[in-house]
Amino acid sequence: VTGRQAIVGCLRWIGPDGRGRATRQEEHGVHDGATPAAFAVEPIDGGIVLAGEIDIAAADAVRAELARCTSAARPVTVDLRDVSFIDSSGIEVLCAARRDAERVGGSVVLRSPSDVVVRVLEVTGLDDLFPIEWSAADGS
Amino acid sequence: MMVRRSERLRRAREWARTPVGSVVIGVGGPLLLSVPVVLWLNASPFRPGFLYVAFVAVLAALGGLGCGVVAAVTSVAALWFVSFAPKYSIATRTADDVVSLVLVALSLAAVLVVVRRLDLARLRAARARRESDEGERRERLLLDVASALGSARDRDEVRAMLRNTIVPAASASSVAVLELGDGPGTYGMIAGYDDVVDAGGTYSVGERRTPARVSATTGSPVYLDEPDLGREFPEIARIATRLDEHARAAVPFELLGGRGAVTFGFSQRQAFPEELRRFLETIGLLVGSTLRRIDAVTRSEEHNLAVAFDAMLHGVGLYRAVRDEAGAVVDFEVRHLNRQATELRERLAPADGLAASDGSFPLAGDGGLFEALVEVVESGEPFLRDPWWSPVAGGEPVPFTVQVTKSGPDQVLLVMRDVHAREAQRREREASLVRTARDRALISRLEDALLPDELPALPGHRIRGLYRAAAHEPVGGDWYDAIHLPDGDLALTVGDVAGHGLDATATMVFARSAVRALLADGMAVDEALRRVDAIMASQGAFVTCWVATYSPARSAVTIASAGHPPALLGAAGSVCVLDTPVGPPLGVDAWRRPTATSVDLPDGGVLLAYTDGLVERRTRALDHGIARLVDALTIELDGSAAPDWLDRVVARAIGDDAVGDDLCVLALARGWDFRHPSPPLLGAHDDEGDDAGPGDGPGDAADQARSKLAAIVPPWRKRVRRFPFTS
Repeated sequence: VTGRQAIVGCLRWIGPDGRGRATRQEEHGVHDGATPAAFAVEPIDGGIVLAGEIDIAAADAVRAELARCTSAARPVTVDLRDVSFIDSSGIEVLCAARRDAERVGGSVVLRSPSDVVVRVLEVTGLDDLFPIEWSAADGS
Repeated sequence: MMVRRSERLRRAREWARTPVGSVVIGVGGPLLLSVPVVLWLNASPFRPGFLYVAFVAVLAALGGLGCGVVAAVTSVAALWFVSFAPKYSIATRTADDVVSLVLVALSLAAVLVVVRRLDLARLRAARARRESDEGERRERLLLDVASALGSARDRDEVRAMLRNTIVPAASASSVAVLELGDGPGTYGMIAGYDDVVDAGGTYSVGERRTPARVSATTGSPVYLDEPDLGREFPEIARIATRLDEHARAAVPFELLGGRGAVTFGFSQRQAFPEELRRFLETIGLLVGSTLRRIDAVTRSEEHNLAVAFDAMLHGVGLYRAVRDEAGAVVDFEVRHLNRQATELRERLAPADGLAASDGSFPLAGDGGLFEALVEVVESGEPFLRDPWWSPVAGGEPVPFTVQVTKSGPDQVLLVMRDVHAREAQRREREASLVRTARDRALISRLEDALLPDELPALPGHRIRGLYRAAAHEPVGGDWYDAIHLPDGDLALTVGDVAGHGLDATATMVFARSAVRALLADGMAVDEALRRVDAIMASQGAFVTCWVATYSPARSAVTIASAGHPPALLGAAGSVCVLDTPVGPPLGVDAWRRPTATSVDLPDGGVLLAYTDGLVERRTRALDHGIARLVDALTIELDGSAAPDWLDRVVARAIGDDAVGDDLCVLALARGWDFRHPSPPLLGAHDDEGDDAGPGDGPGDAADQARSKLAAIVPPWRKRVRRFPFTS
């Protein structure tokens, strides 16, 4: 998995309310260079929050963040509320995290996946692989 | 001979005018004359008197006034002796005789004196006139010479001036200029010694003592008539005799950092009168000042050039050609090397077979630099070589841009630029081009190896596949495959490995081979995927795969999908999404397994499987991409089934979107004949699709297709996502 060019991407801090605060910018290795990838990975207690486009450019960052959570035997929550795009690379990272977590007796729980995520999980036949947790705010 | 006789006469007269000559002739002449006078004694006292007077007059005319006076006195004394000496009985002479004799003698003497005076005055006037003419001429000449020398730009022009003007004016026969610098001294600007001068117009005599050297060394003029020359410079005198040269003069001058002398040779003996000396000495001073000026200008020009060169970033060398006796350039003398050139010379290997005056040229290698310099000197045409590879001591040759231009007579300017960096860049670029080409060739071979050589042929059916690599990634993880199975069925596969690059390609090759092998072995599609999944799970891969077997006999397609986007089925002008059950991708350790589903492929229908690269868009939902593909296929269903049919479907589905991923598509069409402009529509009941004609109405066929599809789809009706049919 390689990011061929280094292009400035935007790393947003996602607050507990799920809203992004533009607090810092960092450089990321990104996908094909056509457009800067915009994604965010925010560690929270017991998991991470993902936002933006979770593709091959984001895969490494997400994988690294998830690896820190899945080393313990406890549920890892992945908040996918603000994910606008996810491709097979992103799904692959989630699957790998789930596999790693289950090896040590843990699990990966998807919280409030966006429609885009739900549809991709459905198409790839993974809609019943992950436990999904809907937060109360989702209903509105 | 006439010349020589008159010359003797002239010399005799000159001697007679000297005091000694006057006395000798004046006394000797009358005494000699006394013999006939004594013999004529007593004959006539007047006759010897007249004889004496005539004799004195002759002597005076010939020998000058002094000679005449002495002769007159001697004559009178002789007459007195002859006439009045008692021995000869002069007593018999009358007093009248004596008085008349004395009077005659005195009057004749007076006449003589007057005549002589007049003659002297005339001679003096003529001589003064002559001398003044000569002086005036020389003065005018000096002015002309001074002005001409003032504008002389080089030694050649000075030489021309000496030869054409000064040598004739000084009545000289030859001229040469000795310049004493650091070396032994060289004669230049030579005229009149054509047989001893070398081709370059110079003549070296080493340390030999010559009048010119003495003059230049002492700073005093040297004037040598033939006897003096023979006495003081015997060696030179012998040469002079051979050259029929009878006098020599050398006048000194100052040079910048040296001394010199102009030496004149005369084909006649010379008394070197004061006027000639002044003239020659003035010429010497003028020549000296001219040479100083020329040298100063040259030096200043060279200095200015040197300053300019030193400020340049390129290596600059100023060379002067050195010629041999035949006038051929044999060497180049370094006049100036700027700092860069000096550094280059130190860096570079010594010149091969090139002997420059100071031992080395800054550039060698390749060879031919010397020849190039000679060519430039002789032709005046500039020379340029880019690059010029020059060897470095103990290293790789270094490339230079070399430019040679002629900067003056026998002078060349060599400009060298180290283009090492540029050449390195160029080489890197070329190497990179070669590498890229090699990579491309490799990738192209890899792609050829990864995709099926040839899709299998099935009577009455058409199978088309298409792979398009991502713009930035030559090989990806997508593949399609189609093979014949042992029982006559057809196996179709489309797969996608998550990720990019060679790792993904390697996983893809593995997955494709595994699926193909299992299917070829007769394994059912779902079971094949389950097996492959079991293998892939241990590898941590993530592969989506769509597998189908098609039985031509039953027109049935059996599909199993591991996390792959749904295939499309188009027939009778409409297209639907085959939302068959989907298992998890291969490699994901999930409990759910893919299951197989069968659908009917109607005659005239087409089955289209693809990878997500075709439908996935960053800014749109996945379903939007699928909908566009459905639309594209629907439109192309009504179009011509040309050989590029599949390309057109893909192009229409993508539109103007940027595709970041690779993609592949596989289509199986039943009863399509791509030779016909449009596919037969559903409703042609003949199983052999090739024979089906467009006989039935399209509307009727479309209705039938819909009803047929509806019959196929119901088992998973709740999962089917319909898209509006475009008609």
